[in-house]
Amino acid sequence: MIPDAVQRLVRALLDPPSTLNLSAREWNDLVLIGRNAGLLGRISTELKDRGLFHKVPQKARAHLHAALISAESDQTAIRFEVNRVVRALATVDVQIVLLKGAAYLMADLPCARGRMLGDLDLMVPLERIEDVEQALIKSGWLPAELDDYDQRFYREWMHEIPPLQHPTRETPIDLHHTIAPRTSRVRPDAKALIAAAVELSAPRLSTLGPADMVLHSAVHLFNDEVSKPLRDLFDLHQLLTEFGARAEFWNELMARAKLHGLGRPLYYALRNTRRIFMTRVPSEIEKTASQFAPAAPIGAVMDWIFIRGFMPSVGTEKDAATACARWLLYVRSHWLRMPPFMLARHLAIKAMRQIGERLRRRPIEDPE
Amino acid sequence: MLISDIPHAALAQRLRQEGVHIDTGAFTTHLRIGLPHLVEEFAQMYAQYPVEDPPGIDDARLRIDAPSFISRYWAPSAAAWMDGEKFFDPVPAKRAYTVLESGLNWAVATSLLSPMLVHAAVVERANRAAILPAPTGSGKSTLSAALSWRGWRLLSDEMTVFSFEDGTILPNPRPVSLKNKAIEIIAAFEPRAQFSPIYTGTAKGDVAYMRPPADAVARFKESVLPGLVVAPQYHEGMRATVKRMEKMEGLRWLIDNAVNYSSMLRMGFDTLTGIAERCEFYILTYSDLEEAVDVMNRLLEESLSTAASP
Repeated sequence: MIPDAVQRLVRALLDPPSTLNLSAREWNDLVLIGRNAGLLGRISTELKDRGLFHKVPQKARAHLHAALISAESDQTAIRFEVNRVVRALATVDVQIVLLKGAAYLMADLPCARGRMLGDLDLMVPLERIEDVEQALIKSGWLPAELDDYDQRFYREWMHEIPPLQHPTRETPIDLHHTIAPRTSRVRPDAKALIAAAVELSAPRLSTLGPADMVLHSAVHLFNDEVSKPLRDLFDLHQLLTEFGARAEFWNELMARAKLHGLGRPLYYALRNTRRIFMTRVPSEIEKTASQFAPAAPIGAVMDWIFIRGFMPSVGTEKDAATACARWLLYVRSHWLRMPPFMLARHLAIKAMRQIGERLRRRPIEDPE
Repeated sequence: MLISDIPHAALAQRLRQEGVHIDTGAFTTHLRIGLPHLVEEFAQMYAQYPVEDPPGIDDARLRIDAPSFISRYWAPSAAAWMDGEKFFDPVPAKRAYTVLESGLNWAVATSLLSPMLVHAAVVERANRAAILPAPTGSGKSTLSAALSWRGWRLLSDEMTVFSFEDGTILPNPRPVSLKNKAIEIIAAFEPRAQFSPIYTGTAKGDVAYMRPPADAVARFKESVLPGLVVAPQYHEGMRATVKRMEKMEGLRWLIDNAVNYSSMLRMGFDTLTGIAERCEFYILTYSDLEEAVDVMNRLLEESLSTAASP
């Protein structure tokens, strides 16, 4: 079910020296799929750290090197943005919780190695979010220019406010007050998330606690539409492996999943990391997690959708099954995000807008 | 095997189906073409380029085809896909070749293969590369085309590609894009130059492509160290004059023309300051190409003699 080329990518991530046996054409596919999946920089780091980089064919080496530089560049940008944010919030008394990539990076977790980063995701308590937003705007960040509907979409329905961006650095900041949309079926306990946050050595910064961090990654991957699903699943694999070394972690994880009502995404996370990355999960935890499984026929469909939909998008353009799985994931992410009536209206407004944009758009030619 | 070694019917079929892996020096592109008339133009312009057979590691994947089934017959047009994703809006099919060339440029700019890309033409003589950084429209293609027929080897008319391993320049010579008056000027300058048809009505007016001299393609695996940096400025009616640029100003000029300077971090800084240390910087204002070539030769001789006598 998993294409050979993707299996070789998974193998490269779990056992980097295995790449040294690849043929030129297999490298070609690994570079293409690895870059598309956002995982090439990681393979590059692994090979460099093991002193094996010079054994990679020259052409592949150039691509791996470029991917690593690009990841390092992202990481530098995020570190600097975090630094600027802390400075801008000097007078605002609030603990800043880093989420996702920025959290992995600043906490120096294994999944940050060679990882690309895009946005800076932050979380603060809902009652402080306006102060934080105003302080950032005062320090030069610009709020996204959105129409009334989108403003409302973010501020009333989402788990984050409209993105902010500094005009010269251009790293988008997503400022969250919880980890799932307000309108979604799941309602994680935002106060509990903040209360259990773990302080970093850097002043004022923290990350979610280990169990919450896993649950956030799971709810994001399995309930939202994400651009690099395989990379996010690999993050989950590494978080589970890293935190799972401590025996108490697993019971915390189950307890937090129940508290936040995130049992289902956790079930999917454990199941799919094991299916693709052979993640080690204690068998009694797996048994306990199966209480969160969907009914058997749905489970079988979901298994199919996730595996298919998580495959890198390149090389599968003509594959009807993959396109179908991806479409189902898209529909499902919207279904989970808001109640049916609201969803219907939201999609209608988006569709109208797209038609309008198409009518207004003038063709660009030869943008050499 | 060269493109010209493949019989036309076989080439057309390969381009339509599995594609060819065409090597342009620094880059290998997996190219597929679904438009019969474009196959012909491509085969002409790329006759002396080698194909990788069996294929190795591609740097980019490019497909040029009709954007939809209907547009094959009604309002024929051409669109480009890179790594399976459509980019650029379609252009009329008679200008499909410009989409191919833009696509190949785009493939270089976005491949991330090289740590450092500078938007500059680059030519070589006496084992020294002259980098000609300039924004579009300052005549860098025209000047590099002229130099390529007067003892200089064309490395690229568009993008200077630096190797991440040793900072040398990797040649990637492709047909030189000439606009409007430059087409006649080069045709008059060099009778041996061979051109594509003239494509009229593009966003930049008339465009034609000059085939690089055979030597440029035959030697495109020979990388070169940077030797001098000359910013060309075409100025109608001006006699060729040259002005030395301060190194700091020259470095800034390079940075401004670098495609990916800020994302290259330390490596970008090291590569460009390395050039600044090795090279002298000049601004060359010219209108007559023969004069400009003379000035380039003089600047090269000067740089060789200063290097010889420390």
